[in-house]
Amino acid sequence: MVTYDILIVEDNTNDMELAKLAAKFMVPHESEQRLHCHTTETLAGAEKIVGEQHIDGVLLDLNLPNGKGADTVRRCRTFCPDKAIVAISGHGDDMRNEVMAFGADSFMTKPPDYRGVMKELLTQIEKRRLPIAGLMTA
Amino acid sequence: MDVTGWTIDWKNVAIGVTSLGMALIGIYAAFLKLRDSRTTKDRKDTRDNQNYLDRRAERALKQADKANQDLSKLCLKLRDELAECRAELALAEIEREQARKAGGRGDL
Repeated sequence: MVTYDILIVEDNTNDMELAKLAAKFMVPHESEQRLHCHTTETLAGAEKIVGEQHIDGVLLDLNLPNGKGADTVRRCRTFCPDKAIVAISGHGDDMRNEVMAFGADSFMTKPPDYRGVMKELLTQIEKRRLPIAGLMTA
Repeated sequence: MDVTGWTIDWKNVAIGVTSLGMALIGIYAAFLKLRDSRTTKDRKDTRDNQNYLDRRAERALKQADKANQDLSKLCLKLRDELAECRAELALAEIEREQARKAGGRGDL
């Protein structure tokens, strides 16, 4: 069975609750979990979880107490260089290019459709799982 | 005059031998010239053929490079589509399981 370990980094309580709700809704029951959801409100917390747990992908808010804007992605990439990162911003689409340049796999704006966000995160995780290295010449 | 009744005119013999020698030299010179011209032509043909093969190889290389790039793009596109399908499938299975758990029909 395919499983996904995801980390949600979000300090906005409402958004975090929505994310938790979405993650909780998607877990069928204890013995057959497909989606393991970890949550934290800071980059430091994210670094700790990534260091201790197996994580496939990160859902990253770009406005955290100790990280603002696209720089949040750059700092997140330093401790999870090989994981899927979907960045979410509440400040519109302005920083998309910068965020992608800093290493995000995808960029979405608030208010997000959480099923869409989850699908995007799983898609980015699957992309990294599919063995296509060496074909990036185009 | 000898016993056969023939008189050998050595002067004519010398002229004949000289003429024959000159003719042979001329033929040999013509042969050399012909051989040189053929060699030059062969070299030119070889050079032309080499240029043609070089151009053909260069063209084939460009085509192979383009095909490789097209293939890479196609592979990446298919990889992205496959990843999206797998994500959608995973979500659908999770939601179906959730619906079954809630008491509804699993295929809804």
